[in-house]
Amino acid sequence: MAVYKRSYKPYEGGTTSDRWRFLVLTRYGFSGLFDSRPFTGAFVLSFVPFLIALAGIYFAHSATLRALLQVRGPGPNTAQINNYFFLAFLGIQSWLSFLLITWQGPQLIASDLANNALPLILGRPISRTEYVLGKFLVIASLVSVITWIPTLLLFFLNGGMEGNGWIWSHFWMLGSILLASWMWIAIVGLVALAASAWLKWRVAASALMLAFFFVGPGFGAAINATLGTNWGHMLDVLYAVKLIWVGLFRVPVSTAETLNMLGIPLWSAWCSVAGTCGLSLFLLNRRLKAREVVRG
Amino acid sequence: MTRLARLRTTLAEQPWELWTRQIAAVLRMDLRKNFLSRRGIWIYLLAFAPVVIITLHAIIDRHSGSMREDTEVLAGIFQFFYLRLGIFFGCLGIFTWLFRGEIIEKSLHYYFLAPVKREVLLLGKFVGGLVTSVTLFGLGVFASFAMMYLRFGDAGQYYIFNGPGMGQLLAYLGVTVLACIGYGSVFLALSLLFKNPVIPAILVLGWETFTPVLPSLVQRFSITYYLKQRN
Repeated sequence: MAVYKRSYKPYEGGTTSDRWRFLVLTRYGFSGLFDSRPFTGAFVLSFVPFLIALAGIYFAHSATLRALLQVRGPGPNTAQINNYFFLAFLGIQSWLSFLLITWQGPQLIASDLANNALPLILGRPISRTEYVLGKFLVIASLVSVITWIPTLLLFFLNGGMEGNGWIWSHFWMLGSILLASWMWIAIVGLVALAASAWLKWRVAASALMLAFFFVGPGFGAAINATLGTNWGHMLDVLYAVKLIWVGLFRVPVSTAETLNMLGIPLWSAWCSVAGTCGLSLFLLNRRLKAREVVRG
Repeated sequence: MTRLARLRTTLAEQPWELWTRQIAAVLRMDLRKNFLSRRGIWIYLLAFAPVVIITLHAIIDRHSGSMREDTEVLAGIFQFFYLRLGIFFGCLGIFTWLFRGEIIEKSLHYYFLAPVKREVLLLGKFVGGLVTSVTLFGLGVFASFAMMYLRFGDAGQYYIFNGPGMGQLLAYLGVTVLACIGYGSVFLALSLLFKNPVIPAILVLGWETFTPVLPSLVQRFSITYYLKQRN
């Protein structure tokens, strides 16, 4: 067999510009996520509520379809497609996105740490901020596809079918949908990355993420019951998110009261959300260093 | 020879003493790993967090509040924090790590290289997890109970030793042990069946949360149902 001389040849292909280099991490992060078939299946299933809502909006606006299906009694009417509808839809989609991120999100950084790949990645012209941004974009894109993008599609579909300037009279809801979704993306994304950075075993990171969102409310409720206060809700980031969303979607105060959503003032809910994101960033900053500490 | 006599002979021939020694050896190793590792700190937090709140309550509200109110608050903390969350997540962490941890740390084959039956190893590991969880959560519940009634002085002492207090404490501790056995066995099984047991654990959490609103026949398939019967 002939053996040819193999000498060093520099890479001659195109390179990604410095500014967008972090997107390489995002691209590889995505390929890792969808390696799992059950996860891909669950991702597809997360669009079922969207299809149901889509059908609901069409059904509410189409008298022909209702007549064709011979629906008797009061079916869904167009007045029911309001801020409550979009709030409920966004709530359902957010829960589904939370489950998906709890499932696969923690592997984003944990696998790099477990395989000692972090010094290799940070040894290239990628800063720690870009590393976090690249990984965060994986979660942000995934959650966006499940939350605000379908909600906006439903909003515009309803606007188109409703006509009569419905979009302009409800234009404020566009901002509410975007702000509510991006707040959720920030919380879920940063908590998932922080859990992933501190626990090399991704199952433990998933469990930690789950515990953060479920034990916090329990601990807060215990504080409320024992000390006779409402400030325990500050530890319940889900309560804070709900409180902010209720305000963003202009749910009347009387309805919010019946839903027990006025335990703490709105500013403290924002503080709780900011505290969660800040703590996650602090933990990421502490953990993500281009070195490995080996304990004997 | 009757079937019962045959069974009795078979059981008598088994090396019970050896198995007991092997279980004790596995138990010793696991207890050291569970109690003295940095990884287990969060379980201590989970078990003793309510004690901190109750201590604060005892300091802040030392001149107000009635024993009846505090008994209800303690019952609420036990049912909604310990049973639903604390013991659930504690057992999730402890019992899924028993074998998955050995797989992650690439040390399971050392157990299999030793002349130990897999059933004995499983039992030893399970008992190790059970002793850890029962000790931590039992102490947490006991400390919460003690801190709640300590501030009432003689009246609190009378309530515990001459009133219904001791019965309640024993009921809390009994339910804690049963909860650790129930959740522990479920999570140990899940960790052996699934590579990522957290997703089935979410389903178990959802099931345990929503079964109280389902028909009574369906409720019988949840651990919470039986724990409530004992509470």
